[in-house]
Amino acid sequence: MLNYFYRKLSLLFFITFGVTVFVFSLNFLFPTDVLSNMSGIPNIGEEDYAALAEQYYLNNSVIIQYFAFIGRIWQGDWGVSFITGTSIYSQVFRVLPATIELAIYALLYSFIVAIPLGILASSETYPWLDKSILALSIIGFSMPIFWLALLLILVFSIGLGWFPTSGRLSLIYNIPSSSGFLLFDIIRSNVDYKVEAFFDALRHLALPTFVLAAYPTTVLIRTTRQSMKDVMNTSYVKAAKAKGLTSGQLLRRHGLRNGLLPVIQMLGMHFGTVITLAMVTEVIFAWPGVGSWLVDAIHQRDYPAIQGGLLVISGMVFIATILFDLLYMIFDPIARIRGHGKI
Amino acid sequence: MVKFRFFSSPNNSSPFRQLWRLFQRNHFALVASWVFAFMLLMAILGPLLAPYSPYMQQSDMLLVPPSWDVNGFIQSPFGTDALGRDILSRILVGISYSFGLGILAVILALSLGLLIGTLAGFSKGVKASFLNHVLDIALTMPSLLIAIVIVAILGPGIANSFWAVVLAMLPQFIHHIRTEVTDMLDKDFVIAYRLDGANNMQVFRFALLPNMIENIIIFSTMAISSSVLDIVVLGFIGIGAQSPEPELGTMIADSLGVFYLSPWTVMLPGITLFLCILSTNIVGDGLRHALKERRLQ
Repeated sequence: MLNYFYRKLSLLFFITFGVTVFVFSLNFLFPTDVLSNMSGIPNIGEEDYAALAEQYYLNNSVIIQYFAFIGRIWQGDWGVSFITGTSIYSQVFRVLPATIELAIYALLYSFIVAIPLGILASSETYPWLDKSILALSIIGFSMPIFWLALLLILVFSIGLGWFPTSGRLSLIYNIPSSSGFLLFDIIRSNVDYKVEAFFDALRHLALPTFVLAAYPTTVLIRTTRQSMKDVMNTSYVKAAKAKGLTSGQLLRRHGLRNGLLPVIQMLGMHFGTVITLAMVTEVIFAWPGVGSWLVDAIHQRDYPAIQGGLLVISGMVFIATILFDLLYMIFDPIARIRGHGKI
Repeated sequence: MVKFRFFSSPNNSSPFRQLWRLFQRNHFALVASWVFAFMLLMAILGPLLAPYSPYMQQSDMLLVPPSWDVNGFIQSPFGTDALGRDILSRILVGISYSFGLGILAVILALSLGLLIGTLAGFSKGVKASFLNHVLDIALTMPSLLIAIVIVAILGPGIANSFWAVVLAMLPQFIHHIRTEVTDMLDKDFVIAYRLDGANNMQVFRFALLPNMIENIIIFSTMAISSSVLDIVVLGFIGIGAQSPEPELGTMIADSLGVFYLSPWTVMLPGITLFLCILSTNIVGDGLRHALKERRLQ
């Protein structure tokens, strides 16, 4: 157990090292001047250049520059944006909660929808159900996410008028931001239009969550179906069936406990993809998250902002992957023994 | 299972032919393979077949509906967009941009991955474990995110997004081929072949490659759908192909402003794209099932 944690910790260390080296090397890879990329000041005059170079250790070796960079990251001095001139650190962490919120709701939704469907599809009593669920999942898997979003907007927002087309909350509600997670903020705020604001936020959430959930749902359906099929064919389940357990008992006591393990692993593996798809979803629905912020930065060639955004997104993906892995280990004792050198 | 079969004949056909016969039994997959072949043909011939130039603007024919509509004209069967460009021509060229470039990207990544993955599979010790760690990091990053990073460094454009997708897919291919190679190097038939005096090159050519090729083909088919999606998404969010170019994702993004007024400008490229990706996925799925069945026989 301790050995396992040690291995994960060393992996985390290695990953942090790799990511920071990569983001640091972006300073040199971007087409603008190195000092501009580090400090975020677009055109540095000659008189300031020497002083700034001294401040950013530009005259020393690359290794010292790297450690100075780590020190600045640690202190929250991530430079300023080329465009707005404000601190990138505060900008990133202002938009990050919106993305996490969207991704978590989408994952929750796909978990709730996909697992019953996967179990239904795995049962051999209804082959037509299996076929139709699989067909639906392959269609969902092949649908380009932005096209699905446009179709849904056309039908539900423009045609039926049920859901708004963009944004997180209608402009008539003014909710003070404390944690950045909108639903929590609404619950914790003490305004007198709390209930209306809450339902308005939910209506804004509906379409983006559904669009984002399409991919993880299809993946989870296929994983659940396959792993439930495998579990139901094992000898311990057959023995339990021979003992006379009903199918409900069988599912509760043996099926779910063993069949859902690969699902947890799958969730961890696909978390990164969900975050990337969340970035695309944000662009379509004008959701004020880190994805649309990063895409704007790429459009405007705002290199310090691109660095900050990449650091946060990749860090989030890695931490989530390792967390899901730990969760998997808690549920599956066999995973603690093997699993050398894999994430 | 019935052991005794009346009309059984010895099956001596080659593995590929057996695979194809099993694949044909699944009618959905067969139809999807026809669609796939048609799209591939269009990706090659599309620019030659296009009736107009995809950039030609006809100012007297703005937002003409498709020809099956009452107000449509037969000279532009799929209608025109907001600048009076013929949508059929744009889609035909767009297939070769999105779908064709996606397939090219997979072929390129496959050849590079085959080279690096095999070399990595043969190597042992510190080199192999270093590569393992680097691959671990690269594999946790989703390919689209890597592609976005590379485009951010190189700058927007269709050529850059192509290279970005190739580089982003490379770690998956290297990892896949490396595990296959290391698994297979321990097998008895490879060891026997080595004892016969085969060198590394011969082991690869005559023992590894024939045994890997089917898995690689199936893996690549699945990779095609993700590479096409990546190119299109990059185009859609505006950091891939740039505006006048007839790339399908860029076309959809361009027509967003007139989407509610004339939905066909978004729907027709979208349906084309959907058919490309759906047929690829179904073909990949069917191949995988056929392979599984053949191994059971």
